[in-house]
Amino acid sequence: MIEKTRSNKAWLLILPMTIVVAFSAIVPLMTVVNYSVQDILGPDTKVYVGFEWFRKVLRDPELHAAFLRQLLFSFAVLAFELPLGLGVSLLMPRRGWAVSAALVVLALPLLIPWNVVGTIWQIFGRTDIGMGGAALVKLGLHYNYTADRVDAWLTVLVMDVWHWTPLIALLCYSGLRAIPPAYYQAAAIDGASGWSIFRYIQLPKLKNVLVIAILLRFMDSFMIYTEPFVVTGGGPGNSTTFLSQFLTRLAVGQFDLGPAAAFSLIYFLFILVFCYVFYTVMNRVGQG
Amino acid sequence: MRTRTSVSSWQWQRSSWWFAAITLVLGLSTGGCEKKKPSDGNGSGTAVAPPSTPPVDRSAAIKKWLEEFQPSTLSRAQQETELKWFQDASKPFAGMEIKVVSETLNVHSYESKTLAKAFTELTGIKVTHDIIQEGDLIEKLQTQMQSGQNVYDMYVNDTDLIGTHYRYGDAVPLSDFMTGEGKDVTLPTLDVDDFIGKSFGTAPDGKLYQLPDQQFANLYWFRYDWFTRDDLKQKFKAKYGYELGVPVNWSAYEDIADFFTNDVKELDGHKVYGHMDYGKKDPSLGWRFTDAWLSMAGVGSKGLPNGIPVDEWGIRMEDCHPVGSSVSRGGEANSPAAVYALTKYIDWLKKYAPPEAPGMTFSEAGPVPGQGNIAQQIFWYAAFTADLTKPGLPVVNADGTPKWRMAPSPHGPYWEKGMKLGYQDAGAWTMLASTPLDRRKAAWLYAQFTIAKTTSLKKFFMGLTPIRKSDIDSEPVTKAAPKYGGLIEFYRSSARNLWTPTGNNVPDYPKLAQLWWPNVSEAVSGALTPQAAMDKLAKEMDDVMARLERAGMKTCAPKLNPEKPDTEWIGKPNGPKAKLANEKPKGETMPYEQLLESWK
Repeated sequence: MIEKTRSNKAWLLILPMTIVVAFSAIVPLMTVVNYSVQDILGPDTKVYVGFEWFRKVLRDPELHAAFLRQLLFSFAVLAFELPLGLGVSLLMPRRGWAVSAALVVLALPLLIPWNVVGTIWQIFGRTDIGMGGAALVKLGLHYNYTADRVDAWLTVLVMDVWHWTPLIALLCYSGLRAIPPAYYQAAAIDGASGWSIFRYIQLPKLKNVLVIAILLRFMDSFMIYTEPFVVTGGGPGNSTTFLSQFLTRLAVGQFDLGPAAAFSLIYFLFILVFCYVFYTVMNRVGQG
Repeated sequence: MRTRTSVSSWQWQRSSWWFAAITLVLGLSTGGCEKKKPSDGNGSGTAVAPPSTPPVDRSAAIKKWLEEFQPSTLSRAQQETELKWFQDASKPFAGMEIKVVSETLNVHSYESKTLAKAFTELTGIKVTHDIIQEGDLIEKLQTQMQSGQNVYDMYVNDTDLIGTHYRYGDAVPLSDFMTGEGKDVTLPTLDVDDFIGKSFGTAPDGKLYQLPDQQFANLYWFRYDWFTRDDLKQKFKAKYGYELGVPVNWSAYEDIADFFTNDVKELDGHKVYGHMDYGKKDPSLGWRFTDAWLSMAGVGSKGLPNGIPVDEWGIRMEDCHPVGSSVSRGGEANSPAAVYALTKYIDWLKKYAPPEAPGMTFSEAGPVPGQGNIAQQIFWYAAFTADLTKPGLPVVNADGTPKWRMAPSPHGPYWEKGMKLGYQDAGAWTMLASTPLDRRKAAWLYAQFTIAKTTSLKKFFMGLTPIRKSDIDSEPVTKAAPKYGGLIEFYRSSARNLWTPTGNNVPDYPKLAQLWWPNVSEAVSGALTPQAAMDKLAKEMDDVMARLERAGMKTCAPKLNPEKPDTEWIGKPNGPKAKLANEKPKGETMPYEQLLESWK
């Protein structure tokens, strides 16, 4: 009988990755933890403050408002983009040159960098030189996203819908194309209506794709930064200020490392919770 | 002027959420605050590349560049002597590569494209003169200050940070450097007393920390051609009872704004407006206020350059210690005058400016008067002079002279004689102690090259941001004055002394300046009343100063006064002013020609 040779040398293979992760994630994370308990005003000017910044950040009414605004925005994004994306995918051609044309047109907004998307909408929405803004004013609407909080909010929302609905449409389209023709043939034999085909064949078959689309768009919209920064700067007032802008102002604008580190860790924890949800849902979807 | 936070480059990595989470943490960690060993200079670690240009005949270089540096207040022989000095003093550093940085202004573009090249050809020191947004510049400066790591060898940093540099002790006092370790690289003919902004870079200890490289003021701008039209003058007088002219007070400015926006409405077939401003939620919204707006309304005490004991930020300073900005601590940031200043800004922006103005930033709003539909602007940066004198613009006559003029800004009802009346930006060469000595020396040589008498007059014509009295008084400038709409007359008058940058009362400009724009924005949107916004701002400034007091600074740290009822401060000598019963006295104007006479 041949004795099995036992060796732990295989662990060495993951050593390089362990070192990379340590330097790229763990050490910086610990540095942030270190900053979060200090008031740092200069290399020689720092004071240990315990959990002062965490208390301050968690009690900050502006942060609470930004968090709620962020959640509301993410749900609004899903409420519009999901049905719209699904609808577009159902209307897309199934064969011929039109397929390629539709795919290219849909992919265009996805290929534009975020800051350029912001710039496009910043100009598009202006009432003096922007086609969209000027058209609304011509229609007799009192639209001015630069001064009106509701207008600003809607502009950012519409911009996101324009930018990201194609992603959902493309995901759904690929899901629809993956449904075997036999299902449609069976439905035809049974004389099923279009609604029945959608309700009992297409929608159930798109379940996995839709779960992924929902999670991706939720996570993505939860971290939105660049587009509203360019279009509204987070204003008027705080109407379009999201969590990431708070962090930016503290960390980059004020260079206020202590409070920014505490905020960053809390934000990081939010993301970890969502990561867990994402992981759990994905696992269940995979099993189901 | 300001701390500008332009973070558009920071884009969130969203394609994979877990990567974004790590990026978030990494993003913060890059601004580490632990002091590290500064990178070594030439010959001691940092890579030093030889100049990429082929060897140049240095004598020929002098002849070549002398042609570029015309006109000058020096004779050609004197210029040649200065350039020769630069060559000789630079010999120990030949081959070194240095990096300096300044904000995006025409004058700095000239330095970056022309003067840096000239300096390299003349001396063999290779200069990279970066031009970046000022917010990014402040970020680099703070990174170097917080980490001790050399990022740039010298900065053109606004003297608004003089109180910060002085208290943190990170900047090298140039007056010490010039007589001490940098004596061998200090131009004998630099003539520091010739700089009109020398006092802006001088701290309470009497030392010069920052030496101006460019200066510009914010002034009142108006369409001279419209203001002198008889039909408009008659119409204005019929309605308001006084002449249309340069407004002396805010009441007149408001009347004129209302007149053009709501009465004149259209001129030559185009919609016109009586006011221009900007209001986007952006760091530049803060400069609009911290630069001078409150002092123009009348916030602060008498006494130059910034008000003694209360400055235009509403911060009270006793000895050299800031003691508070809230009225309850003797400051004025939430005083009736400050609330009035914010209220008027919002009212005028909404009532008289173009509807798109609330969505604009400083840089977007700056060129708008050049489009020809703005009658006046109370807060106009003279840095835009060159942009508004370009041939073909609707605001420039066929002969190249402007249709507009600049004049001193009007003042609000709380303003009193003896107070500052406007803002003057002074981007100044600033040297940090964390930069290795040999790199500091080489950078100082280049810095002096950009402000030496050999180059400064030519540079003035490229950017219209004067720094030397000798240039302002020179013959070439006299000849060119009619083209600049009053700029030269302003700089030759003693009135310019009332235009000053942020001063020594502000102990940490980057942290305190960032508090202004979010609060102002909330007031603009109506989410907060002007009083509530200024109360919040004052408290936040006091909180930051309390932290500075707790942590301690190298010198003159804040020592906050205990809070008292407002009534114990308001209306007291050197205390915040009480609310006026009438905040809109009768408007007063002055003919532009009379104003020019008063400047002589």
